[in-house]
Order: sequence, then structure tokens, then C-alpha cells
Amino acid sequence: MVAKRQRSWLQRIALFFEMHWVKMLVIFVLVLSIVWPIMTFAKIDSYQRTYLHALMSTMIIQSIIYGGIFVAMLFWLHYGGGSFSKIAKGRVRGDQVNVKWDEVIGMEEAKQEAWEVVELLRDHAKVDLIGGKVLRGVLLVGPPGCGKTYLAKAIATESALPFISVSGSEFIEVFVGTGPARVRKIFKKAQQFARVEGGCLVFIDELDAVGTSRTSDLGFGAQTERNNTVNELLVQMDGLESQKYNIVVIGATNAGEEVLDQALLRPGRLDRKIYVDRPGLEDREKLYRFYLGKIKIDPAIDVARLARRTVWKSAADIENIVKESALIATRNKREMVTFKDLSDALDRIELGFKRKRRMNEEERRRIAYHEAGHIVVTYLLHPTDDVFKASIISRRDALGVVYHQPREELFTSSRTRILANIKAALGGFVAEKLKFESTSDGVAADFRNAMLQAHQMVWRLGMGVNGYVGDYEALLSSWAFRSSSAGDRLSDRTKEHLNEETHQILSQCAKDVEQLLRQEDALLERFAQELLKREELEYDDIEAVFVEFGKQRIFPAAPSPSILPPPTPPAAT
Amino acid sequence: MSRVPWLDALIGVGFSVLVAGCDGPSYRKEHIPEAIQRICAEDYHLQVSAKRVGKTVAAHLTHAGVLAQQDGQIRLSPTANETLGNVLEAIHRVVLSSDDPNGFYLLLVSDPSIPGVYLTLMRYLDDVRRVHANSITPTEFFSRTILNLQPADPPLINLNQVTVRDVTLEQFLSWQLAKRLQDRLAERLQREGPSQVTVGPCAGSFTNGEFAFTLNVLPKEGATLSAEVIDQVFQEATTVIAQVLSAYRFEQFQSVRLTHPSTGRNLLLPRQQLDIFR
Repeated sequence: MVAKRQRSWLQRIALFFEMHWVKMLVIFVLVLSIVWPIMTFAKIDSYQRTYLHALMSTMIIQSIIYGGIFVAMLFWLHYGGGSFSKIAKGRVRGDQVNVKWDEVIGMEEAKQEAWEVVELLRDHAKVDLIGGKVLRGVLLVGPPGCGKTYLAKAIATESALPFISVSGSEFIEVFVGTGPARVRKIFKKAQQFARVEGGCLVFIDELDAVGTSRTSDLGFGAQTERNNTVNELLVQMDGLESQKYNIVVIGATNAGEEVLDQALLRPGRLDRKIYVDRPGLEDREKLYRFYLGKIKIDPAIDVARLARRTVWKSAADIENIVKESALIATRNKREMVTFKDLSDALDRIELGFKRKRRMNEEERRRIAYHEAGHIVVTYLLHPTDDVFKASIISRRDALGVVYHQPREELFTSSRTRILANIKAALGGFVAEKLKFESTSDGVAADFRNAMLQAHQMVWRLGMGVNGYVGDYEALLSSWAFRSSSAGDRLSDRTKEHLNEETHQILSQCAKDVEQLLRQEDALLERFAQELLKREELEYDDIEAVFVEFGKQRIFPAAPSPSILPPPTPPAAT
Repeated sequence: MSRVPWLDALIGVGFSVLVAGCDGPSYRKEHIPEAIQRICAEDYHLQVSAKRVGKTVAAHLTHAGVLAQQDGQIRLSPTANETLGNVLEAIHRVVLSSDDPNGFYLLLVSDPSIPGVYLTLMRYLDDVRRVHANSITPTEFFSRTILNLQPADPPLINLNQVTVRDVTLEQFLSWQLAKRLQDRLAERLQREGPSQVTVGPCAGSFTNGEFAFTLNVLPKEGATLSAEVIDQVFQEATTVIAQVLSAYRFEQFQSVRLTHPSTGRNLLLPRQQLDIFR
């Protein structure tokens, strides 16, 4: 047994002071700082004391009021229903969205994938029962105007769940903490709806505005705020609380997946990706039929040709074309939309408004021959493109235009196609040279186009004939604002050879075009005269001339030659 | 006891402040003169004698350099502000913190170097309270102060040399109004251009519920006093009296009599009629 050491009370006090002198000092100072003012306060004259008393009472009440207001504002800012954390969009019930599955057209593949999502949402309870993985998020990726929002609405309608729609940019605010607060608020709301209605869809449009990769801040705090918003989104999507409810986040973005934070794309979050691409030929036809079905149209409209002419156009573009054509028809006091209205609408959207410039006859002739050269070369040499329109009416900065497009979506370009592009671009230059023995500055844009393509062929695509295979641009230093060739891993000799070959391609193309146009002089002359006379030629008009000259192509089917008036003799040049 | 110690401490401090603030008046009314003298002596090293008559406290300060003679006129010296301010501060502290903080105070200021005169300063304590609470402006406060230069023969060296009477509010208002009338009429007539009249001291008194004021407006030598000017003088005087009495909320009077001695014009205004001018 250890004997306890006995200490005297003095020793105990000394030990206590030694151990606790800092605490005691603090307490002493604290007590003194309270007692001293009170004593002083008690000593001052009663009139002053009463005055101070009244003042202090008012100050305490004021402080409580101001403090209360401040705290309330902070709460309001971060958690409450204040405008900072408030989300503008309200909740919509699934049946109120009312976008039926059949109305979603022009994205058959995306629809098939989206249908699985709908089924998973509907069978949420069954999936839970068998212990399967519940769907948490869907990412809709694709170009703008292709119907991502529309598809999301259709999912909501079909699954009959409440639908909360927000834009990614709504999370970005000038006040710190607003972004995460809004995320919390949305998910809280979604949880409430999910509790009552068995599930909820949260649709975040333009997800890239909020869900980009987290990076370090440059010192201004904006990136930190963005990172916090992403973090909150991640937590809410995969948090313990959220897992209790059937909440599915549908994100839509035009930006690629690589832009988004990788954590957002991991399993359990936006792991199911649906690509909503631009509509193909058949989808475009369906879209045209759908939108044209809403307005009065000329029954003779060739929808298939419209679809061919609008390669790479999105569903929104097609809707816009139809709306614009209705406006044009109304302006022209017609009761129904014709093919011409649709064509004009497309021109207006693609090429801009027509500008009636006053030009002298010589200039008009030059432009007409220039455009005629483009028509003849494109039609006769281009393997994939159709000439849909030719015009010598000014639009934007162009004095004339020949509008040609591939008949269907092409994702690659062959050497033949690129060469045809170059020749088509040079058609105007050669035509001017042949007819006027001099050329104008109107060829600048064509030359730029042709040279860039020839350069790409040789420098990057191995399409030259002198054995240079490889992407030689990869060997060039790629510093922005580079003013010299320092850093290049390509010899000047090689560069010279490559450039020489580029020029060879261009000159050979020019020779081929010249040979063709000399051979087809009558066609060239005829198109120039038609353009001078009518200023614009549509697909059928162009096709009819070629048919008349026996040069029509097998595809597409030749229109009736009766569309065009009988040929007129070429005007004197 | 609440579970939060700091809340207990905060409540304790608040309660202590409350208790400390709820103490009674600092000075008994019987000890007001001694308190004023003590504060002046201890805090400001000034010799002040004081006495209390009814609700009026009188204090006398004799201090070299308080008054100055300039261009044949005697006025407060530029260095007197601090000294007078200290004495007034002491009087305010004591009287307002006493158990009878209503009434008036009178400060007599004499300068041994200018023995023939002394300055009197009279104030109503309610005015002091109002200016402290920003209820009236300092300019208005100064207008409510009655300042007079009195001849002293023999020189005033002790408060016992003068007879201090208890001042009533009616008397104070009549003196204040007389002074105000003189200032306002002089200012008004001067504002309207080179005048043919002069404004002398206006006497004021209160007897049997009636305020009586003498409007001492006289024509300059060789000039005459037009009826129009007399009308203006009466109208201005009536307005001033109505406004001041209204500001004091003073209604214990029956009428106001205005007399213009040189023309013998006399105006008697019942209290109800005076309300029109407020």
C-alpha cells in the first residue's frame, strides 16, 4: 500500500496557484472588467446614470433587433426561402409536364435507352425488393437543340413522377455559399416530393455550368465556390439521406463528358449516359412531318428533299425553319406554306437576309459566271453533295452563293471528296478567268477554303502523291502567339516539299476545273444567263438544266424538265 | 439556473447594471450648494459660492479674466468659455441629479479686474434637460438663456451682497420673452433694409395672469414711425410670444398685453386669440 504524502494547506494553495494561475488570472481580469465598470457606473451622478441606463437599454434592444435581422438574413440566405437560395423553377407533376413518348421524335436510339430509365423508375420497388441497384442519375449528352429537355420531360411524363427543372447556371451566384445552398434546397424539395409521390426527377439543364471538374482556386474564390457546389451535388446525389428516396437526377449538357467532374460520372451518380445526337435523314423526315403537321402546307411539298437538304440540322433548327416559313407565307399573304417558303426560311437561317445591293451590269455578270462555275463543277464532279440553291443576291458579306450539301450525314471525307471540294471552290475563279480573262477579289474566300483543304490533305492526311505520309503539323511547335519557327521539329526542306505538293494539288485541281468548264461552256453560259435573269435558282431549276443538257445524275431522281422555262440564248458578254 | 453558464453570467451582469442604475438621486436638495462648491473646487479648482432659494439655485463665480472690456463695451472674454463651461457643468450635474431637479439656476459672474459690473445667466432646468436629449437645438437653448450685464456698486465679491429670489416660470418667461422680442424686432427691422427706427430694451412682466410687454421701438432723430411699421412690430411680437409660450406648453395665463410707449398703442390679446399665431 502506497502511503499518501501529506501536504500543508500552504503547500496546497501554492500548488493550486502554480497549476491554475493562468485560469485564475483570466477569471480575475474577467471579474474585474465586469465589476469595475459596474462600480464606476454606480458612482456617477444619478442624472448621467439614468441617461446611460436608458441609452444602454435602447442599445441592448437595438442590438437584439439588428442581430436578429442579421441572423435571419443569414438563415434566409443559406437555408430559407430567400431569393438567394430560391430556385426560380417550380415543381411540376409528371402528368402536368405532359410530353407523351410518341411526341418525342427524331431520336430513336436515345428513346430506346431512355425507355429503360422509365421502366427502372416505374419498377423502383421491385428493384429494391430483389436488392438491385437503384438508378440514381442519367446524363443526356448531345448538341444543342436536339431534344434533351424534351426527352427528360417525356421520361417524367411516362414515369408519372414530379419533375424539378433547374438550369446549371442557377447555382452560380455572386454570394458565397449560395450554390451549395441551392443544391441542398432542391434535393430537400425532391425528398419531400419523393416521400409523398414515390419518387422525383431532378433535371439539371446545362450541367456543365455547375458540374465542371474541380480545380484549385486562383485566389479569387470563384473556383472554391464552384468546387463546393460540385461537392454538395455529389453528396446529395450519393449521400446517405438521398439513398432512402427514389430521386433520379437527369443532367443535360452540350459539353463533352470530359468537361464534367469525373466523380459526377462514377457509378451511383450520373452513370447512365444517353447520347441525344442530331437527327438522321429518317428522323429529320419525321420531324418535318411532325412540325409541318401543325401548320397549313402545300400538299406538294417534298418532305424527303427537305430532310436531305437539312443535313446536320437539329430538331430545334427544323422547328425554327418551319416557324420561319410560316412567317414568310403570312408576310406574302398566302394561306399555306409552300416549298419555296421553306427554302427561303432555310436560306434566311443559313445564309442571312437578302440585301438588295445596286450593282452595275458588269459586276452582276461577273458574279453570275462565278456562281455558275461553282454550280457546274460541284454538280458534275462532287461525289457526295447536291447543289440545292444558287443565288446572286447578296447575303451578309457574300455577293452570291451556291449552296451545296451532302445528301446524307457523312462522318468521314475521302480524298475524292476533298478534291471535289477544292475543285468546287475553284470553279468560280476559273469561270471568271475563262469568261473575263481576269479574276476579281470575290475569289478570296474560295481560295482560302481550297488552300486549307489542300494543306490538310498534304500536311495532315497523307493524301499527297509524293510519299509524305503522316501528320506533319504535329511536329510544329504549337505555342500561341508564336512568331517564328523556333521549336519546330520539321526541316525547312520538308516544309518546302509539303507546300510544293499543296500547290501542285491546287494547280492540278484548277487545271481539271478549267478543262471541265471549257468542255461544258454551254452549261456555264446557260447557268450564268439563268442567274442573271432570275437571280436565284432552286434545286429543281438546277436539276432541270442539267437534264436538258443530258448531264443529270442518277441520284436523286430527275425532276420534270417542264419546271423551267425554255432556254434563252446566252446574253452577249 | 440555466444549463448555459455564460448565459447565467450575462444575466448576472445585466442585473447588476440594473441594480446599480436604480440607485436614488445623488444629491439631496439641502446639499446642492455645498455639492456645487465642492465639485468646482475639487474638479476645476474654481472658487464658487452657491445658495438655494426655493427652486432657484444661485451660484457666484469671481474669476480674473472672465470679462473683457473692448470698445467701451464689457463682454465675456474669449478665454471665459472653458471656465464658465466648467461651472455650468458642475451646476447641471448637481441640480439635475438632485431629488428636486425642477426650477432655475442663476449664475453670477464677476471679474475683479472689471469691478463695476457683473454678468447674470439664468436658465430653466427643463431647458437643460431638453438640450441634453436633443429635444431642442443649441441655438434655441441659447435663446432661452437670459444673459444680462448688471452694474455693481460696490463690486460684487460675495453672493451675500445680492438678494436672490425664487424665480417662477411666469417670471422667467416674461424676462425671456422681453429679451427675445428685442432681438427679433431688431433683427427683423434690420433685415428689411436701412431702417428709420431703433429698438431699445423691451420690458416684460407677469401680473395676475397677464403677460405685459413694452415694445420699445422708436423713430430715429428726425424720422417718423409709420403705422405700417407699428403693425409689423405688433404682428412680429405676437408671433414670437405665441410660439415661445406654445413651445413651453405654458397655458397658465389669461392674456398678453403689448404696449408701444411712444404711440401709446396698446394691444390686449386673450389666450385663445393667441393660438391663431402659433
